[in-house]
Amino acid sequence: MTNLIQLTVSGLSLGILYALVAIGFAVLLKATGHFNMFPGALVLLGAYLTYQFHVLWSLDFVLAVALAAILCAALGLAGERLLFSRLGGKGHRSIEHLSVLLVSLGLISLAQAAVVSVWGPLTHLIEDPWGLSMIRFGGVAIAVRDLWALGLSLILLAVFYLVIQHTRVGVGMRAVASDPEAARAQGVNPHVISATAWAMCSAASVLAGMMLATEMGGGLVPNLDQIAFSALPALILGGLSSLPGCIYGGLALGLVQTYAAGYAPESMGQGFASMLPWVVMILLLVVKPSGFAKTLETRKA
Amino acid sequence: MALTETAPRLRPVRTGQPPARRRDDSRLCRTRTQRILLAVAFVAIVAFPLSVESAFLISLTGTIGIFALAALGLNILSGYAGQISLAQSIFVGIGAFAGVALGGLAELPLLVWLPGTFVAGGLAAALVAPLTLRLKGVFQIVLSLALIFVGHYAFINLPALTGGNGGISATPSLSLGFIDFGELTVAGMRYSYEQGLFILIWLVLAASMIAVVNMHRTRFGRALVAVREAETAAEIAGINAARVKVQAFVLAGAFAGLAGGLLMAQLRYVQAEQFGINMGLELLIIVVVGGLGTTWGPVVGAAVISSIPVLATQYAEHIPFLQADFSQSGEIGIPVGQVGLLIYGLALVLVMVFEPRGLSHIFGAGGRSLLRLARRARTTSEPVLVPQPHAHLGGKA
Repeated sequence: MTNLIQLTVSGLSLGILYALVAIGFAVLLKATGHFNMFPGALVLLGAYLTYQFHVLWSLDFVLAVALAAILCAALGLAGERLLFSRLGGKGHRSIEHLSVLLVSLGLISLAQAAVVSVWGPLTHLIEDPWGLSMIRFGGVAIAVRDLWALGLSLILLAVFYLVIQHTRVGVGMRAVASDPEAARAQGVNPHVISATAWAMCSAASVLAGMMLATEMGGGLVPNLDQIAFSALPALILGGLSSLPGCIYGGLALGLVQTYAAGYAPESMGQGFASMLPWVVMILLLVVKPSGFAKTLETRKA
Repeated sequence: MALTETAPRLRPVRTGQPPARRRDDSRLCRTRTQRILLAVAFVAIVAFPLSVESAFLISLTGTIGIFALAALGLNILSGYAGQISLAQSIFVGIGAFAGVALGGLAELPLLVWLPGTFVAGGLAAALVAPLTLRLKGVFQIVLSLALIFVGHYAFINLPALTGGNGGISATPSLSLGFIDFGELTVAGMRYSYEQGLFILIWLVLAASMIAVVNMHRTRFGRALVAVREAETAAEIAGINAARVKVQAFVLAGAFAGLAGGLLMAQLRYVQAEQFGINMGLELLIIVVVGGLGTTWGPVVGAAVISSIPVLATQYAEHIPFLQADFSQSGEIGIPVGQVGLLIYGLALVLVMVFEPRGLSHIFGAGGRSLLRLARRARTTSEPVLVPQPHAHLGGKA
């Protein structure tokens, strides 16, 4: 029983981080109309910039994370203005709708090479304030970092909810998502929308990257962006552009992966737990290619 | 009077060739020059390894051929059929491990194990094709990522065939019965294993390229392009789009399997780790950078993308800003192991931004303008009447 509770908490905290990364992808897809993998690079760069500011330049931890998020947002926005928004319709017929995706894959490669060139291939510790400390409730030991991951992510998601539902920019963002041309005709400024989207995406990605790179999460490694790819099943499970769907998908996958790591017998072979989210996604795609959230929506309608 | 005079005289237009002679743009050789070049290429495949001493150059060009072969398969799927996949590396892996099983463990002859890798790759692709082709765009890409992770899990958990995490070594036979590529002797000259393998790789690649170019002219090839250009219209015209896409996927997997078999023969040691996301990305980048849907794209792309990291590693000390390995000295530099990623990223971004049609288009256009320059240089020796349609207007004004 104690084991189940411990696994559930760490599964939920892993799941909410997957949800954050997936939301980073989904927000961009909604606001710019393109599927962009660059948030994967932001997860990586955010964690390394936090390391640079906090450990090497000994700034305050909160300040370091905030600075990393701002820098990543600027980087993403620069990429959007200079590269992604100019690619429309370019390319061979079979890939013109995927040109943004391909360029962002290229940028991920560059980011990985840059990270190893600057900070080296070894695992670093970002000296987060939580370390490996545990809280005990009766017999149940829960990592402090997991609780903070859950709490901070929920706060950030609440902020996103308020921005999208209750501000002018949020309404504009929803308008752009449903019909870009009509939104433009109504005076919605696409530059403001894309800047907001990149800011949200960067905040979510940097928070997730930083949490994944904590000592509890396994430390800062140069292939952090590939860990971030594990959030893609959550995105697909959530139906690609639904934000609540990303949260359900992320939590479900986090739990599945953690339970598999805790309970799957040895005979399932090595790497079973980290492979399981992908299998869940494949099964879902076989049964219902539109994702969980879409089924909920269609039932409501 | 003046009005009739202002009608511009027609400028004689030089038509290069009468249209009747250009029956089919997709033929392998459109002109006699190209046919001669093809024959020269075949001679070069046999002559090149003899004239080159360096084992490094032989293995590099062999690797280029292997990657070009895998990319050739992906080009059928992505270039001709318009479906994107990152999972080509998994089929390369399946071919390689099938090669280990058939050629290494079972010690079957070349004529059995090499086609066996082709069949294995094709069968594996046929297994997953119905699933991936139901999806489009982003879903397809993410699904191909899933295939990589699931495939990697399968590889490391079948240690009898794959050696698990540690990898497995194999020494396949390269003998065809009457010729043995392992110890080839031509006109008294003995080739080494690597030289013989180079000939085998490039002969297989050349045969595959000819097959693909010819495929492009068949009913199936035209159906592929029709599905890419307008799926609904193609279906109305009576093409079974789903079947055509599955066939393209199976062919892509089969060529990847063949490449995997040759890679196994070249390295004589394969490891599950090799066939991960990095190789999948490399193959996709080769196809895009070389030029999607072109005959020479995979070869040009492989020559550029696969050779630069190897060359950079070889000549690291002569290139500024390059470190042999990561040192803590604080010196700013790019570790040699990262050059590959750097080149993939840069090449992909630059090609997508500046020439989305790919490098083979640049080379093709460059070659054609060179030819035109040469032809003009030959014709300028004769007196040429250059018509100046508006000269008399200027005189009147």
